[in-house]
Amino acid sequence: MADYVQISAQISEATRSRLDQYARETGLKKGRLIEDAIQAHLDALDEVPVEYLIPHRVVVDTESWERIVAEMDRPVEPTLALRRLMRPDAD
Amino acid sequence: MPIRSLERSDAREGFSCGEPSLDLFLERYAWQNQARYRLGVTYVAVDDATRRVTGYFTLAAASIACDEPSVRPPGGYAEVPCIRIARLAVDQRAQGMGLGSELVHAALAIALAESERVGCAGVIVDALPEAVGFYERFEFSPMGVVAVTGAKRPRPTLTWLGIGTVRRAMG
Repeated sequence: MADYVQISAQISEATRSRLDQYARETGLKKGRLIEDAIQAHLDALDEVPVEYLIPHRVVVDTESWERIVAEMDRPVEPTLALRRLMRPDAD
Repeated sequence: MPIRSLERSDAREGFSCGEPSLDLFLERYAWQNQARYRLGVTYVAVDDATRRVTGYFTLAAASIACDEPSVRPPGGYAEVPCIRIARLAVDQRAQGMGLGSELVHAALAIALAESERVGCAGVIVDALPEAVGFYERFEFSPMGVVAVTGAKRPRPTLTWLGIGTVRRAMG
């Protein structure tokens, strides 16, 4: 059997009214309702929506691939902006 | 402004860069992506006085491949390891002060260090259309993408910068 503890939290009067009304209508104990709501919320936070996952593999077209491979062998000349970015004290 | 990895106590709520998906990622998902799933690490610029995040970027390991490679990379590998700047954003109240460039600098410095520790041939960035010019200034060049695995979100323009070019820029 799970151990239960008491917590105290400030909530708005509107939320309190909805909680009371729902408990009256369904006969559920408020403690059960609050625990279910908190767990459902925390579970939802754990699920990262697919649009927020970071893609790990990219497939590029042949022309882009050739540029990347060529640049691995012969790095291109950095722009002045990149030089200044990486060596701000050089000027 | 110092840039460091995200901490649980950093104030992420209220961050507003003008792109709601970037705000929501920082507020709700960046910490669990980093601390729980180890999918990526978010680096933040934080206002010392308020502990509020004023800018951030997320780095993740990635690889680039080609379905019909006409050439092989050095070593003959089928994929090229790289670091992905998955997101980069500056709060609207801090925009126009050079923080975006500072974040790019920090990201490239990390990528350069990682290239010497574990190998990394370059850096890729998903650039929103209005930000492509910003990255092109720093020699990032747009890539033609055939497919991205691991996400279904709308794709911005993928840009690439070879780590050798970053090293040359260091002098």
